[in-house]
Amino acid sequence: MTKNETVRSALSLAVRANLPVLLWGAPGTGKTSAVVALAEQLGMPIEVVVGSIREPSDFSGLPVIRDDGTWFAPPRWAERLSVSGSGLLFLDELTTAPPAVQAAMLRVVLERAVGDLVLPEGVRIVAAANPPGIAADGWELSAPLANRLVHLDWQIEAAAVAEGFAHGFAVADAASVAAPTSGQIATAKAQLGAFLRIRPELVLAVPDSPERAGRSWPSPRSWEMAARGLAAGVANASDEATLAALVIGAVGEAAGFEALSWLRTLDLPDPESVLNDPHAPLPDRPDHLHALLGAVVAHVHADASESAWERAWDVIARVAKTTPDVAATSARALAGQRPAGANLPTALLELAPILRTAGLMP
Amino acid sequence: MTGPAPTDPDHTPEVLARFAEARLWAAAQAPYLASALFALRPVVLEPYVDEETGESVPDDDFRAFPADTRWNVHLDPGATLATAPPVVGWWLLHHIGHLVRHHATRSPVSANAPSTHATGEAGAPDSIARRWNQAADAEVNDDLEAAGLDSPAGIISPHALGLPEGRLAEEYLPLIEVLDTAHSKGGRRLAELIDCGSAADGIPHDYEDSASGDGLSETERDILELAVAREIETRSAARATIPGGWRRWASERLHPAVDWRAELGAMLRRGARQAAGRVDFSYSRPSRRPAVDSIVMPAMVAPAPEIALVIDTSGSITPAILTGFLAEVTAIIARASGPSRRLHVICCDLNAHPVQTVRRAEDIELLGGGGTDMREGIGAALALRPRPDLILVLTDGQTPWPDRRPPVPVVVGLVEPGPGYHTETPPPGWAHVIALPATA
Repeated sequence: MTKNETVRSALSLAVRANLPVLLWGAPGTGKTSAVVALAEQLGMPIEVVVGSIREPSDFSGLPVIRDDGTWFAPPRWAERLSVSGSGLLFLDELTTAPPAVQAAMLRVVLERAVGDLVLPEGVRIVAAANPPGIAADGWELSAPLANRLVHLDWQIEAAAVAEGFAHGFAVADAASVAAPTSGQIATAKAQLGAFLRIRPELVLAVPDSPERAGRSWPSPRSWEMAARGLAAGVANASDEATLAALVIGAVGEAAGFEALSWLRTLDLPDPESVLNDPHAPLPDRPDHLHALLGAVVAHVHADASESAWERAWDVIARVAKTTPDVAATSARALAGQRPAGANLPTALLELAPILRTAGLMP
Repeated sequence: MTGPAPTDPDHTPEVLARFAEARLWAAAQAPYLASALFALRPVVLEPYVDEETGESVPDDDFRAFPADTRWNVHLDPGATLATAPPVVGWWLLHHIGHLVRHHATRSPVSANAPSTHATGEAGAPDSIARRWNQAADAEVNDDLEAAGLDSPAGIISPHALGLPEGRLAEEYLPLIEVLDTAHSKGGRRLAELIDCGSAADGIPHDYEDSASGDGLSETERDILELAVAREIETRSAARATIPGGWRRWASERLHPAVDWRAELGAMLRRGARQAAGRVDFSYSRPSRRPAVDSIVMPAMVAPAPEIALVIDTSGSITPAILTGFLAEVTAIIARASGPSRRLHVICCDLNAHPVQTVRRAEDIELLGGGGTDMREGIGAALALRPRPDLILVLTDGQTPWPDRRPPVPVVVGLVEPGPGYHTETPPPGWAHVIALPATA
């Protein structure tokens, strides 16, 4: 899967899961045409609104005086979307819009309100922007607006463009993408909630420089978007790169990768259950086994009882049957924590040959 | 080709056992890399069979157990069984160095280059790839030496060649080319050419089975690298001995440096807009929209921001460095506040010099020398009429600062002080500080 395919599939997942998306990319790389093609596939009407040529009143409504007071009249594009009940609102050139216009767009993205008109639930919002460094007169996104969008980096490879010129651009089928069920969303929220319980400092990390503030950063709202993105990925059995693009696009790289690696260790059994149940299933991959034994050793260290230390050796012995090197690495750490009075385990003797050939034992 | 060779299945368990011993040894030497070591996937290759005896013999092309970018390590049965576990372990640590430092993507050779096998002769089309492999080896090996591990014979080592340590492969590349030319005049090789696989040069090799997709995907690699980097940070916080190269790698991987140009541009745009009331509404001219029922609608105006530049011209700062930064900074200012803006420049040592109004960086006359008092410079900038919307100060920080927050935003570009000086007081909290690197 090329990087561009990953972004495209993340985009269609996000649109299905009703997450507002922002595509970052250089001008002329086909962001707009990709979004228009996506709307066609989904059979939705699309309204393209270019932010850089608009005024705030185009998003907050024009004041019109009536007998019963002032009414903020929505522009025609909002009325059309409202009548059709569903559709794609594509906010183009977001970063070249002046800050006052961005502030007015904020309300559209957040509350789906244009003047006195509220857009229906079926309207999906996609935005596109050029990085301020590329655009001659770009502004950074304001931090509140940046936090309400899932940021996806629109990348294209030369080889894919050459191939597209020769044989036409392949369009991924977005119509078959399923929306996540409420149960899947609840599961994803519970998982990320458990992660945030151990890393409370990642719940909210307001960026300190305007350059970083214009990209994704973790806040309770963006974590919720990450959970919806995860659920959408689970619903469509997406590959890891697409999931990562959605989670990192919502909460930023540092927090996103940490959450992803934690979600991966969720597949590992709980160290306590492994200690207590001699027949608990163990993972196959050496790096997963290493992570599990690390958790077991840490657990024994915290427990500090003789029985836990002796039972940990049974786990080591089980791992030694398949991957002796992983077992021996943890065995050295475990041996150093021997509580007073604990019996020397027989498993250590079984590991002696490999320790000796590796030159780690006299 | 993965898994056991169909012709000779009896060697695979031995080879894998040897690999396990090597991995165990390596994890004991560098416990901070254990999770990376256990993520390596061994791939046992077809044995290289001696035609007369029918025995499998070591294939010299594979004596480095080359790795590919998906974290597969290719084990030639003969070579693996003929090598002691510590040496195999050393190579595993070496390849992890290539992999986490992304030598494949940094490689100057395009990935579509013809597939190579092991050691091309100098002058052959793939000699650039070989050179790059050597330079990358030099970048990796100084950390292994720092960890107190003995390299196998014939391996590039910056220390032994008398090259500076702790540099990047891009910096070693020209040095190695020069050294190698000198050596080959004497008819000798600088070091043996060794194939570390596509992990080092980014060219797919014909023994690598990239189509199968076995090994780590890109996301998995990212997650793994961050986990290793966090492990290194945790351990070095707990005072474990970790080579400086690995510590630097970890801190860079976890806290990537933001380009100061982007940061400064963003600061100026943000600060100047905020000060200028961003884009404001004004009744001084009517809106482009026709009024409804004789209501006059306001138009939007965007006052262009006035930026004052205060330059520290004291003796502690090198004019050459300053001139380099000035050209870049004025370009950033022009982008942030629109073209053809006049720039008000105040040179400042112990006193503020007269204001210069310039259009280009080349027109700035650097006046001054001796001590520094930025309070004077900032005061002079505040006295300008119209008052600037943002003050940008270029200094090395060897100065007293105003004890109260000035009424306009202040951005400080902190230049490294010249030789013989060291930064005393950090700038105050009300200033946005951007560190400007010594080599911009």
